[in-house]
Amino acid sequence: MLYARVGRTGYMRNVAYVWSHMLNNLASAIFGFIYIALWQAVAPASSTTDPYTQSTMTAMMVLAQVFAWVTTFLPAGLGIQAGVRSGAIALEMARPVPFFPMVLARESGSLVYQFLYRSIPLALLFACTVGFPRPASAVSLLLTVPSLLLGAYMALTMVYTVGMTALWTTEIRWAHWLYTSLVALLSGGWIPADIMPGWLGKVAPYLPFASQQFYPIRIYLGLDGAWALVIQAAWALVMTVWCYWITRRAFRRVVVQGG
Amino acid sequence: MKLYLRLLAAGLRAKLQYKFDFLMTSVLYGLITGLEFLTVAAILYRFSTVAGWNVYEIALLSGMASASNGLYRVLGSELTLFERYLVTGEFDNLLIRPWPTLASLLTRNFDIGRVGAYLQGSLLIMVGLHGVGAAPWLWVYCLMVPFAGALVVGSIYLAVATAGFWITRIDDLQTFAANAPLTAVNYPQEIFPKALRWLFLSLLPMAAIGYVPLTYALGKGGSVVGLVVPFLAAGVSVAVTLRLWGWGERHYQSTGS
Repeated sequence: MLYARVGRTGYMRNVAYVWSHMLNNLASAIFGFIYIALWQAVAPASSTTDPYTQSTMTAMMVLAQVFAWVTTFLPAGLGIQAGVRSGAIALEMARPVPFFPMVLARESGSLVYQFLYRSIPLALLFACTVGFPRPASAVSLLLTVPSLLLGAYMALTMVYTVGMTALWTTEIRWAHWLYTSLVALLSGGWIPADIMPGWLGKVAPYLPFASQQFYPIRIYLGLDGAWALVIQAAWALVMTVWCYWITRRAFRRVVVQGG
Repeated sequence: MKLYLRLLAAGLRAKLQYKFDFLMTSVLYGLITGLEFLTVAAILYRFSTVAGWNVYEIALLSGMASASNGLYRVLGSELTLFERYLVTGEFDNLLIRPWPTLASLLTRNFDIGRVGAYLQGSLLIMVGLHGVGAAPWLWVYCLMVPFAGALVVGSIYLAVATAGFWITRIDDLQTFAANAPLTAVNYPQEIFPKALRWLFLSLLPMAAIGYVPLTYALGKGGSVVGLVVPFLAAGVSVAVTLRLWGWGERHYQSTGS
């Protein structure tokens, strides 16, 4: 109940800027069109050996832009660094609610907002322009739901890690940029993880970033089945343990900056 | 201008007091912008060309965009954060100073660390030039263009900041007007639908920085006039957006509390 209330605050915090976000949806769509045009220019029109044809890549780019608002685009460091700078982190950590689940609950509310006011309008915009892809089957659609949830969870844990680095470095600019660059390159949203050159193409699908975009998109399009959820769930487990561990370590490091 | 340069020099001196921070910042900026090109390179590794442009030619496009943006960010990073000034009412403080608000704003944060992104872009340009076997004049030309490019990028940020005098929240508009075109100009413009191509060549003229002159210089069409386009675009955009800024400033109503 408490976490639901905290989640609601995360949702409400965003509602105030709904029109500004609608404008940003246009920008997000432009990015989608840019990548669609790029893949139209390079991918084969049809192929019996290459799964990434023009039509598949158009569908992947549309889904990448729509899914990214749930599995990728989160505020830098989940705002944890602001608490470190102002000293508010000490109060948050002193509360009788575990810090990590509380941050997760708050940001989950933001993700619900982003799904409703970012993903859905974008999906409609794409449906009216280049078309919104249909799921490969009812099973694919059903499997996409847990895959998206696991993708969102992975994004939350990774951005949480970025935010927690503020307790050691105060400034998270670098960690945030490094994370966003790695996500752009390795999440498999804008370039499929398995077509990266050489060894990177073999490793990238098994890195945590692939859980955010690569698998939800491939499952939706029927290119992957339930086994992909196992990879996502395994990484989710690893990241949960990691986040609890880093939170415990961080508790010992709190130095109040503000006052 | 004299005052601007003096304030700039003071900002540079202040930043260079932290030499290790400057070095680390520059290296990291360079590495991170380099990672962005890796995405383009990975696509080219698989497909060899994009609309007939090979990896070296695309490196030139990408390098020019990256170097122009890096250079702009060194001098104008505070303009990118202008929404904060409007939301908090901090812009009021700039208005009461005895010199132009834009000069005050731009000299507040001389982000010398961003020189890493400029250097990474320049390196990419040099790799591209070497790869295409460019003539000496093209080396000189391509390394000069980012200076005009920085003005084009800066003008777009200035236009977005000006819009803030009416709409206040401009971060999202910035994504639309600056980040999207900066991504698009990494690729040859012929791959885009006509509407986008028009947008990136006129209202948001980022394609004028690299694509237009390189189309001619690499023998892919166009005319010799294309070589003048980056400088022309820089002059026109700066002149227009400075006027817009002045006009917007007169319409500014404080929003802070």
